[in-house]
Amino acid sequence: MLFVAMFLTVQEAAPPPAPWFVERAAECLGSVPTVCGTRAKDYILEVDGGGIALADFDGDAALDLVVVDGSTIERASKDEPGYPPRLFLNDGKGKFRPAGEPWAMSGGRWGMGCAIGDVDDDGWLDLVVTQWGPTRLFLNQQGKGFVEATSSAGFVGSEWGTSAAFLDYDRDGKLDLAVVNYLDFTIGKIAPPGGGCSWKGFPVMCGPEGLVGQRDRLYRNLGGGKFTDASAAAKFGEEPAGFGLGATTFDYDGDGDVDLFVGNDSTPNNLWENQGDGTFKEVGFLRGCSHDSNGREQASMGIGCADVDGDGREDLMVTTFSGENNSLFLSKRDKLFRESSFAAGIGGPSMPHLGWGTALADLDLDGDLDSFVFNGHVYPQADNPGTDTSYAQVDHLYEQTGKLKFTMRPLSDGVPRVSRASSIGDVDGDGDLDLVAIQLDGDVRVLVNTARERLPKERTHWLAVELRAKGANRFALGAEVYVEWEGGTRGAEVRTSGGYQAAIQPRVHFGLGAAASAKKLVVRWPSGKQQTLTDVAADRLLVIEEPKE
Amino acid sequence: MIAALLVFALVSQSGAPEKPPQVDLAARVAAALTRDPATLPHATEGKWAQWDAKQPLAETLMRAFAAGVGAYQQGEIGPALAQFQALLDLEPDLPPALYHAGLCYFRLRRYKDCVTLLERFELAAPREVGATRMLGHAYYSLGRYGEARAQYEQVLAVASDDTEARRGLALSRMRVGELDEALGELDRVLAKKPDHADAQTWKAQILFDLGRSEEALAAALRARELDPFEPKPWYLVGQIQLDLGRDEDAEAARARFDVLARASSEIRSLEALLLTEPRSTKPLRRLVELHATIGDVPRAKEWLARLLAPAPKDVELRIFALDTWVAAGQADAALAAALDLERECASEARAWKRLEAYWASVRDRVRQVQASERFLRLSGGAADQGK
Repeated sequence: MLFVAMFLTVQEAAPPPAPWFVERAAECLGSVPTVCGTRAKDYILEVDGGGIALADFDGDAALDLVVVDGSTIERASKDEPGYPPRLFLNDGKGKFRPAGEPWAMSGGRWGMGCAIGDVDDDGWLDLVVTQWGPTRLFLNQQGKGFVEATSSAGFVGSEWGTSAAFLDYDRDGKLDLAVVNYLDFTIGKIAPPGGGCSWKGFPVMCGPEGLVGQRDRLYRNLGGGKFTDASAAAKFGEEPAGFGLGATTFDYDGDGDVDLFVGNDSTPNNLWENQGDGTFKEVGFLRGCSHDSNGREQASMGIGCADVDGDGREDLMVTTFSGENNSLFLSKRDKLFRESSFAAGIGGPSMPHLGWGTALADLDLDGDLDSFVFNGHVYPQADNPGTDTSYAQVDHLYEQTGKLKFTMRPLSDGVPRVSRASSIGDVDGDGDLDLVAIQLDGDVRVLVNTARERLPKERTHWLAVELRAKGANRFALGAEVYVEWEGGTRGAEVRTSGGYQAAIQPRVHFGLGAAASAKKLVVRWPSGKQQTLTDVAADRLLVIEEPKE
Repeated sequence: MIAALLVFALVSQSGAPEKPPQVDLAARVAAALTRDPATLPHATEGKWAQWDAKQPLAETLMRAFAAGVGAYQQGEIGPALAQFQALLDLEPDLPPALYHAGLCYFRLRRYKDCVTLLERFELAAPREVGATRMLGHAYYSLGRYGEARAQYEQVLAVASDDTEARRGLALSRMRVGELDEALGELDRVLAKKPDHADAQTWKAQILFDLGRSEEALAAALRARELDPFEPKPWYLVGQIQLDLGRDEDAEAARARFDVLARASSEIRSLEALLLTEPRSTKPLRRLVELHATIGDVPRAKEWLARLLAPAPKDVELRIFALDTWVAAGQADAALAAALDLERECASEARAWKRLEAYWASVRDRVRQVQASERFLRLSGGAADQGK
C-alpha cells in the first residue's frame, strides 16, 4: 500500500526541468584526463587544477580547445617536467581531435591557467600559459602550429601564476599582459600533511592562510613577441600581495581605457583603475567590490563579467568558498559596485558550494543574462561529517527568471564532480553557448547547450560578433559592442579573460529571443572610432572590419 | 530561553559542574567530532511525548548532563559534544541532551548536524522556543531562509517580544530581497533594545541598499558607536561616505576598517580552533594580543583571564600579560598586570627582572629599586657566578 502511495506521488509530481546542458565529452572529445598532484591533496599546489580555453587557432572560425595540465609533487621534486598543455582542433560541429605535432607544446613546470591574444600582431591568436613557475608564451604560426617563445618573451620571475589577461592598458595598440599570482609555495618549506592545519576540526593541507601572497605582474608589450615587466612603472600589484586567482578586464568607469578586476582568495579583491597615463590605482574598497556586503574578504575564485542589469555598465559575478556566497556585484552610479547576491537569489543557494569557473551569459537566448558555476571543494576531507558541504559537488545553472532574479538548478546531469576552470563558447556552431570544464583528477568535460534543440527556433535568435581592427590589436580587445533589438538592448566588451584560469575567443554573443534581426549594432573601436550598422540579420557570426574613416 | 533555564536548573541541582574525565579525552573528542549525528540511536516512538522540561532527570543522567554543560560553559565544545553524545547513546533522544548537542554543533558551525538534532528535539518538545530559535539560526546559516523564517515566526507567535527571533526574521526577509519588511522588523528590535549594535548595523545596511544614504550613515555611525571594534560598521560608514561623495571621510573609515578586519579574520580562526582545542595556550595568547592591539581591552582581559585560569602563577604568562599591555599602550591594564605579577610570582627572579624594567619605564624609582633588590636576592647564586 505504501509503495502504491509513493508511486502515485511520483506520478503526480511535476517533472524536473530538462537539463540545459548535456555531457558530451565521450562523443566530442574522448577521454582527456588532467593531473594535479595526487588525489590525497596533501599540498595546496595540488588543488587548483589546470586551465582551459576555447579559441580559434587555425582560422576556421570553429573554437578549438586548449587544456593546460599540471604535474605531481613527486615529479616537481625531481625537477621532471610537468604534463604538457594540449590543443584539440574543432571540426566545426563540436568534435575535437588532437591537433598534432605542429601544435605540440612541451611540458613546463606545473601548468595552471592560460590567456589568449594576438601578441605579435600577425592576425593569429597566441597562447600564454601560467604555471607554478615561469609564464610561457606560444606564438601561433599563421594557423599552422605553435612555436614556444618563452625564452625571448621577457617574462621574469618564477611565481605561482594562476589567471592571466591580455589588455592594451597603455593604448599603444599592442596587447599587454597581466599575470595574477597566488602564493609562495616551495616544496619542503610548506608544512606536510598533519602539519597543524585544520578545517572544521579535520587536519587538511595548509594554506592559503599563513602563507605569503605573491604580487601580480603587468607586462608591457614591446612588439614582436617581447614584453617588459612594467609592474613597478605602472604601479600595478600591491603589497602585501593578495592570493590572486581570477582576473577579468573591463572598462568599469567608462572612460575609454581598460581596467582590471582581480579576485583574491581570502584577501580583498583588487580593482585596478587605469589612470590613463600608463599607471593604475587600486580602488577595490573605494568602489565597493573588495569585500562582500558584510565587509568580509571572500575566497574569490572565478569571475563573470557582463552587463546583467542592462544599465550600460558591466557587473561582476564572483565565485567563492563554501560557507560564503557567490557574489553578484552590480555596478551603480558614480562607478560604485554594490553586492546584491541575496536579493538576486544567488547568495543563499550558493552557500554550501565552492565555486570556480563561471560567466554571465545568455544561455537560453531569451535576451537576458544567466550564469553558471562549476563547483568542487579543495579538501577531500569535506566528505567528513559536519562540514555542511562535500568534496564532489553538483555544478549549477543560475537562470534569470525575473528582473535580476535568478533560479538555481543543476547545470547538467546533477552528478557531483570536483570541477574547476571552465570556458564558454559556441562549440558546435548551432548558436547557443556551450561549456568546457576541467574536472580535478578526471576527464575534461564538454557540456553541450541544448537551447536551440529544446526551445523553438523562433524564440532563440542570436548574434555573435567578432571585430577586426585596423593595424594593431587586430581582435579589438577592449572594444565595446552595443546591440538593440525588438525587445531589448545590451552592450558587451570584447575580451578574452574571465572565469578562473581560463580564456575565451574574442567574440561577443547576444541572445535576441524572438527578434530575427538587430535593429542597430554600434561598435566603439579601441581607436575611438564609432561604427553603426542597422538591420543586422541574426543567427550568424558577424565579423566586422574596422572602417578606414 | 526555556532551554537555557533548564540548564541552569540542572546545574544548580547537581552542584558545581563536573569536568569530563581526562582519560582518553582527546580520543573521545576526536571520535565525537567525526561521528555523524544521524547515527545516534532513536528512542521508541512516543517515549518523550510527555516530557516536561521542569521535571528533574534521574541522578545518573543529571550527573552526565551537568558534566557536558560544565564543559560547554567553559568553552570546551569538543568535550561537551562527546559528553552529550554519550548521554544520547545511553538515553536516546533525551531532549536536553539533544538540544545541547545541537548547540555544540552550532558553535562548531556544523549547521546541518545542528539541524539534524534540533529537528529531533522539536519532535519531542515543540514548544521550546529556544530550540526553535536556534533551529532558525541554523537554517539561516545554511542559506535556507524560507525555513529560517518559518522558525522565527513560530517563536514570535508565542513570544512576540523575542528580539533575537525578530532580528532573525528581519535578516531572513532581507536575504530574499524584502528590504522594507526587514527594515520594519529591525525597527521593532531597536524599539525594544535601542543599543542592539547588530540590529543597528543591519538597519544601516538595508537603508544603504534602499538608497537612503543619509539615514544609512546615521545608523552606521550609531552602530559603530555601540560596537567600535566590529569591522562591519566601519566598512559601512566608509561605503556610505563614498556614496555621498565624502571620499576623505571614507578613507579614514577604511584605514580603521582594514586594521579591524585583519584582526577580526584572525580572531575568528583562533576562536574556531579553540572550540576543538580549548586548552591550547598559543591561540589564547594571540587572542589577547589581537584584542589588546585594536584597543578592545575588555575582550583582551576576558581571554587573558581564560589563559591564566589554569595557571595563575605561571610567570611566563604573567610577563606576557604585562608585555602585551605595555606594547598596546594600555597603561592602566599594564599597571594592574605588573601588580598581579608582583603578587602571584613573588618567588620568581624573572618576574622581578621584568618588573624592574617596567617600573623604570613608568619612572617609579622606588619600586624599580625594590624590584632590582628582589631580583638580585632571588638570583643571588647566578649573580655571584656571573661575578
